[in-house]
Amino acid sequence: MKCSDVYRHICDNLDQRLGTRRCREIRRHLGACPDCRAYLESLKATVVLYRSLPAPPLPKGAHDRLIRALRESGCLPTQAAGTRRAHSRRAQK
Amino acid sequence: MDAHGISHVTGGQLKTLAEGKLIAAARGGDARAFSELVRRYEQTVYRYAFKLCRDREKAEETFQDTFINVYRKLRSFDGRSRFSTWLYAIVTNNCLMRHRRRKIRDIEESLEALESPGTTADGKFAHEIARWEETPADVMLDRELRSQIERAIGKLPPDYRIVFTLRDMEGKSTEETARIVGISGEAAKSRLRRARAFLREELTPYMSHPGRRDGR
Repeated sequence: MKCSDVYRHICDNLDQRLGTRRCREIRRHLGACPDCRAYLESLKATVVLYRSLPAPPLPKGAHDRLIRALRESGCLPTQAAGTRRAHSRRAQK
Repeated sequence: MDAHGISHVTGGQLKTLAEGKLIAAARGGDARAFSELVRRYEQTVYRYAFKLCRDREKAEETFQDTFINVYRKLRSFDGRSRFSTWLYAIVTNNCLMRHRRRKIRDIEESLEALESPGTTADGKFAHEIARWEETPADVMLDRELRSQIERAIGKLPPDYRIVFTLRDMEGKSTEETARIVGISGEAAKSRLRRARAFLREELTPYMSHPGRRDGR
């Protein structure tokens, strides 16, 4: 097995267990090839570093701004129309 | 008229209503059902949009466009894929449309070279693979590295950034990633390989020579 084959395989299966016959060959290759081992480790570390990037929660006020945009686009009824509908629902009960 | 049977549902019950019923009611024009779908998915949509845009303002614009598109396209949602898959696809398309004008040709050429690195006739790497002296745990709080990480992902063309974000940051499978982006599984794998290799290359100077970062 060549480094180029291992390169392709470890990139596709970075986070999976190496269980098949091909994977056992790769594991043997990794055991004997410091370059491929270094590559795999640094690739895994790359993913860990990117996963550590913060993804902030929805900013304050963004929900209200969205509802406003949805109303302006006609996706949601305006507040007045919504209130009228709620009154009529209560009246039906 | 209550074709989808949720007008009797109270506000509290709405929060636990099965997603299928909610979608059916929203498709029938029920504003409460649509608002509940928004509430359930707004954090997911915003965070994913932020991961793609790396900018709060653009993420919020994408977030608003996404829900407006969801409302307009809801009738075409046929339930063959999961609702979340369909939603991710809309965010992805909105993000791509925002980036379409960016000049990305140069970086795409260099990414193609990363598809298969230089190897010798016997299949070994032609260049020595740089060893990373530091682990992620060593450098997690390093501000300079963090900005390098941000810069590197900012350089990735959206097509690649999207696949990398879906697979490695959102934890989606190759198959779901391919469905969201509308490409084959092989294309998704190829983009992921290139994206990971590119990001690794960008971080190598920081990770293989720690002294370079802080003048040690």
